[in-house]
Amino acid sequence: MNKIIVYPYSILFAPFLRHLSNLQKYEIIGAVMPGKLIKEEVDASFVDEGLKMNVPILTDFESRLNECDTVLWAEYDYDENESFYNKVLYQINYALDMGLNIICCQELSETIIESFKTKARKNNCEFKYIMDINDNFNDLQDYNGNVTVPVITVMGVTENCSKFETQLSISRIFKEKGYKVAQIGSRQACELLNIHSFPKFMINNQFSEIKKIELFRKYLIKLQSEENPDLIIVGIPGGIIPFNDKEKMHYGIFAYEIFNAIDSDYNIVNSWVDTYKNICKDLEKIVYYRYNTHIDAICLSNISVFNDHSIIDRQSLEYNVYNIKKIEDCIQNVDYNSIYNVLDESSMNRLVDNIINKLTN
Amino acid sequence: MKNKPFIKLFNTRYGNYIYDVNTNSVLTVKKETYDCLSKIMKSNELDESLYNEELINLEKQGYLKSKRPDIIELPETDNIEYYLTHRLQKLTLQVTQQCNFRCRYCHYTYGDDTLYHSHKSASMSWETAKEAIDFFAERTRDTKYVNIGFYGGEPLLKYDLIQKCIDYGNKVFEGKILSYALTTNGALLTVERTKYLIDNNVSILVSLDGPKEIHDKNRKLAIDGSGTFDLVYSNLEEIKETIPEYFSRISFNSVVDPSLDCSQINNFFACDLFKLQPINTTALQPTVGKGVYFSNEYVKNSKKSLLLAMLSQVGVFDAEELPKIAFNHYISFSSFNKQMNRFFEVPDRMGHSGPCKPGIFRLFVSIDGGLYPCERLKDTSDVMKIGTLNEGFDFEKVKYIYNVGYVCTDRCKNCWNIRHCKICATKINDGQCLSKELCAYECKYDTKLTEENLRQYMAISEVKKIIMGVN
Repeated sequence: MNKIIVYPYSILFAPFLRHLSNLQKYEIIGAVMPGKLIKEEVDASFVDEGLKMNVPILTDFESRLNECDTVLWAEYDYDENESFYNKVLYQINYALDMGLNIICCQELSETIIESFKTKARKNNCEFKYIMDINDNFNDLQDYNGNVTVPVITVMGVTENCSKFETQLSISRIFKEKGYKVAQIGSRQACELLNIHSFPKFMINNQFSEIKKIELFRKYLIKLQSEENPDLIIVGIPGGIIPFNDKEKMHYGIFAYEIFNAIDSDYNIVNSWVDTYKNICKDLEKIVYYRYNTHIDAICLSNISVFNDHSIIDRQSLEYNVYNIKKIEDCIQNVDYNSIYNVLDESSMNRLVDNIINKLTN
Repeated sequence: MKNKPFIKLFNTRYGNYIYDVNTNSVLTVKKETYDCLSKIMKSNELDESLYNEELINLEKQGYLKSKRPDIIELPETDNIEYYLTHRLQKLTLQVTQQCNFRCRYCHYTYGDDTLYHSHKSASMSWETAKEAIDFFAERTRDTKYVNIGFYGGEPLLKYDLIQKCIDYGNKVFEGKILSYALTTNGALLTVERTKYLIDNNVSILVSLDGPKEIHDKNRKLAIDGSGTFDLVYSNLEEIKETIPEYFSRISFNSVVDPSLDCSQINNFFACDLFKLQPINTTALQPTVGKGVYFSNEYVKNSKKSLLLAMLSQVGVFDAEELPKIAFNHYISFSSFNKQMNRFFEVPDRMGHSGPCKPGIFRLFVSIDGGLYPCERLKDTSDVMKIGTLNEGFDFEKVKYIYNVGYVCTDRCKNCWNIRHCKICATKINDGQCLSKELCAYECKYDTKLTEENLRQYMAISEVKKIIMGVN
């Protein structure tokens, strides 16, 4: 079993690390967070206040490299931080020079990928780029018919509302109950967890929206045929409505295409905990009139947008990450039966029971 | 019995207006409607039978609601502990209390001893600075952009300490978008220091009040009370000549003394050395409870600047070409425009819009490790102290300071200015407590200010109508 160190670690990678540690595919030594923001080693769940991972956060990269044979290069938001990006490139090169394998979950240019692969070959180690998805869709033409297996969709009112965590949680619980699950995730690095990432033809500008809808239906039929699952979970990237003039959340276009491609059997909508009360009355109508489908469950995320006048001119949104109590308080004060807490294991178990109930009745 | 509408009536030379608090919008009405509503608002009880057709229509469209908040408390109070634990944004270190200047308007020079410390020789130790940076870092888990500022006295008197803090900060905040800020009187700003600071992402703000005769009136050397303009200006000239690409990244702050003629300030900052630099002007702040003298020249030029700024708002002038004081008015107008978002109605629980979240947007650490919400306050008074580096934050104190409305709840509930009020705890701290009397005093000033902002807001659209014939 490979011994890995995750670097650079942040909330962006937390759902992957949580479920990777469950997969028991690797022995995870720790996750290196940049900087010196913590005094002592805390659990990696510190970044997202989620379920404990039993993986320590480390603060120094180079000194811990001799404890592992593989570095998992985690996805990180380098927005406006070119100097840190260059530092990470330097560190990865350093690890390769030590003969360590690299599993890369960060999107890179062809040139950089090639240079790392060359260096890896020279040092007798491996540079595995998992973001390079086989986007062969030519064989999809052969797949016709219907999707007969139940399809569960997970969408978010906005981006960054823990919908990936929801997808991974329900998938794991279903598997623990003995179900065979095929899954399309809403994040590119899904392949790390043996999950299909969102097919690239869906973001290919060369295809019309009609073509994308048709291809997606065929893609699901192919998945159904090859993997013979009991159910399919589809994570829908982006949000379903724009947040404001600057943050469009893809205008809900992916949800529109997917709901035209398939008839889903159960729909979960994730929402920021802070904004849920403001929009709960309208959410059902939004989903019905935009996508011609209904909401079966709401999953509240402990993440919410940081909407403060002090950052009104910033280019991108920033987020607050609350603890579990925030979601519990919200759930107690809303009048909706099918509402769940993404941080609470028992709540997610109840969600899966609810799904099974509905699909078997 | 229905309450009276929650509104404020005001007029300009060309129009009669209702500011509707619930929707945060300004309604243009006919004179007879304005007079009718004036009478209604002055009477003891609401008599809707006096509503004319225009008022009835406005009511049907959702205006003139009487709803007022039930609870005066900022809803974000619920999240204060979260913010203080995970979302601090700016750290300001008081690196020294020493200063080589004795500016006449500086709180530390002429403040009452019970409210401010006078200039002393104490400075922050490296151990305290490091502890402050670590304290701050541990509480920035969810913050993407972090900023560390250096304050004094004159911070460049502790240049070595600043360099140490920058080196340490760069290691601690690796992975975040880190910037620094420094406010200086410019006397110790050399070419070498400017280069180092800007290369390390330090925003430099130099205090420069204007031409020599204006600057030297208030900004004096500590050693002999002589003027400081020549010293500062020669440093700036040298920096501009030697490293012009760095000079362009220096900003300036001018404290405008209204007893003086501000047109000289505009002319000074229009010269070659400064014309491309960002210049911020701030009005000289009166000591609490005392006034400031306004000269005739100041009043005349101020009105001229206002008019130029208004004409820029409607597109007659390019804002970039405005004289500096007028440009700052332009920015104020734009900022007020942004506050005029439309709402459905006032929420049940609200506070006034002014205050920042104490310690969160800005955390000021005094030389001995005391924690305060900002540097513009009386750091000898415990009223505004929100904790220490050793003991951490006093969450309840922060919530109290954040909610100035606790001091004057009944007044705030019925105050039409609740959405625009800018009173913060600093302004109503009398050294012993957050004072109800000071709050009443500031309230009068602030409501007048908002009323004037509303008049200017509508005056701009009146000007637009006249000049461009648009609605």
